[in-house]
Amino acid sequence: MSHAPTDPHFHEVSERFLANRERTAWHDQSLWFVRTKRDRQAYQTPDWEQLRSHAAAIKAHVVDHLAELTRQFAQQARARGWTVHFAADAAELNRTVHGILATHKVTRVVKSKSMLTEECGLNPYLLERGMEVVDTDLGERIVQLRDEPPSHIVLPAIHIKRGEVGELFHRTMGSPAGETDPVALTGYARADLRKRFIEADAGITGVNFAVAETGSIVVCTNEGNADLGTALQPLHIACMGVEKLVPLLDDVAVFLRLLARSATGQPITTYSTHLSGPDPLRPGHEAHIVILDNGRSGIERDSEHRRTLSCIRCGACLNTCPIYRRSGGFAYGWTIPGPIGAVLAPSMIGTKKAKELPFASTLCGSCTNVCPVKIDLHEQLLSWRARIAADGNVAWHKRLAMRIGALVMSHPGLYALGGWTVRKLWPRLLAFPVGPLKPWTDTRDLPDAPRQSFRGWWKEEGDSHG
Amino acid sequence: MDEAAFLARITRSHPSHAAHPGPYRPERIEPSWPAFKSSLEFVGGSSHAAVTPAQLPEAISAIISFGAHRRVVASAAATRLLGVQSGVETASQAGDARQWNDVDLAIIVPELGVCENAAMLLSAVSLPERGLPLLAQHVLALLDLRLLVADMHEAYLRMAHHRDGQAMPHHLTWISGPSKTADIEQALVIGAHGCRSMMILPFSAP
Repeated sequence: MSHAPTDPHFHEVSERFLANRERTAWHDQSLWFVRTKRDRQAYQTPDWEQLRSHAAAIKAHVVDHLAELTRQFAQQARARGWTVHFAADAAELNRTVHGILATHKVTRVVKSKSMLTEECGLNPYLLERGMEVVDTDLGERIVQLRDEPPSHIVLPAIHIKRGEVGELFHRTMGSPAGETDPVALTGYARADLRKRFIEADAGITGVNFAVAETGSIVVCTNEGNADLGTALQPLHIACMGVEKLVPLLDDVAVFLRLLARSATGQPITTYSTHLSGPDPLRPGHEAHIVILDNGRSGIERDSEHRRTLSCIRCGACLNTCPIYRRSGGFAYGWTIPGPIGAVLAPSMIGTKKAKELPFASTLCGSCTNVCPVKIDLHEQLLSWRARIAADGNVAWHKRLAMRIGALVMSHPGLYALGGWTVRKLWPRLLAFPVGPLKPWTDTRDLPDAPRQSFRGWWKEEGDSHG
Repeated sequence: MDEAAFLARITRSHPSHAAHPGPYRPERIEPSWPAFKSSLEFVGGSSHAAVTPAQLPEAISAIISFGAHRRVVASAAATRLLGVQSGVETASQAGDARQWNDVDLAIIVPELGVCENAAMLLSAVSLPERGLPLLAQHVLALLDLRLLVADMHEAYLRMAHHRDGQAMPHHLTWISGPSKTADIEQALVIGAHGCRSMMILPFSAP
């Protein structure tokens, strides 16, 4: 079990992904299909834009009041019988969760999807300590059985084809060889996982929203796995990032209307469940919450990027991103891929390690347009580029190119010479690329150069138009 | 780490102090059964024609024999509504939820139905037997048409009125259609971990 990768090599990995053109095209189309489903839902919701603005305003309030809301939430949660834990970082979260499980002598754990526990590497931590941890979301189960991390935050197995799932289930669950029907394959997983739900001693879930007013958490799934993973076991542990707080129960309505529409083009997730502490009807039932910082307080202190804490992890920016769709999630080399991952990663793992990620974007702004909480993602990407450059983490040839650019732009004579060169000489040079330029020119064409420069044209024509 | 140390870490560093935007109240839309039904079909659920409360037992018998369901369990709330019916057990709160793992059909009574997304509210009030509709292969929900609301905002408002100062019930679930997944090549499969089908039998006072 690897997971929680923290050393991205975007170019290298995306190049390998792109080498299989057929698969790249298929990946691209699968995600675009999800994006179009999202569009249909957005267009059918008459107050969509108003809803986004409202959600953004709630989240702005939350980011400005993290400590106040955490205090209120913890107080209300304790009143409902939750045991509340706080963790500064991934290591403390892992230790805390393991401690609770060990105290209860738990050996079998069912887990529903939580990007936060992926971020912390909780699964490998527990497995190394002899606990059986079963991911129960079908996509997560598939990647877990393949010993891979998820490649998407909502669609963990979006990079895997049905034939591969068939082989995997044949090997691990005894489904017939050659079975590739998604209905049949899901049936095998259902039977296998049902048994595990029944046998498990504890359930671990993520948290979509934590309501400060009531001390409840909200967990959303389509499969029902978070419900089956909390309703049957004597122990529940919920893991949440501190940014998941919302002030009021009423606010949940706003986010439930946005989340599934943005994520998968459904009007709401199939199961959206509020839980308030241990179930008083189940004697001995225990419920714990672990609230995690792990770099979030650092993002809060970063005035340029604190808005990224508003993210509700719907994945809409991944589905729409032309770079994500054609690179695959693993290219980002970090738990959260796509535009939101590329702006969170530099905060969480530093600009040195994440130096390639904010450049993995065309800055087309589509991510910003689909974000349900209106994070200005493309502006964030741009501002990270500047900071990565300021930190000296841009490759020498890019730095050189920028310095030449600055020189040319500030000297009109050089600019004119440059223009002449590009019009007259460049097209001929590019026809015979050699050396280090070749990979660049192989995948790019210059448009035909105009016959004359704008300044030349202005000299001849400009006055008569004036 | 203790709470004080954690709060110190996350205490606001920023001068901004954005106010909460207040309640969200969009233009009011009238709820209607056709609107709910169309959302329900979109999320993979199905429905029967509306009946009167007196016709419920007969309609349910027909559904059970048509589906050839062997073990049928009604929630306590459903039994209160229907009376005891032959061939239908009433869920007992006592004991382990796992007792329902072999249930074919669960009969439940939701507290609200939301037209924009076919979500139905179940909580510790209407369904203390939380595991029942999760473990059952199929679910039949008896929906009182007077409990329809247009959207989620109205639903939460109504929920607050229901609670009338009472604490949140321990569990409170919006369930919209049958359990589903599209994790294998984005092919929609109904019946992931929870119920394989979700039928709604609407009823209204004659």
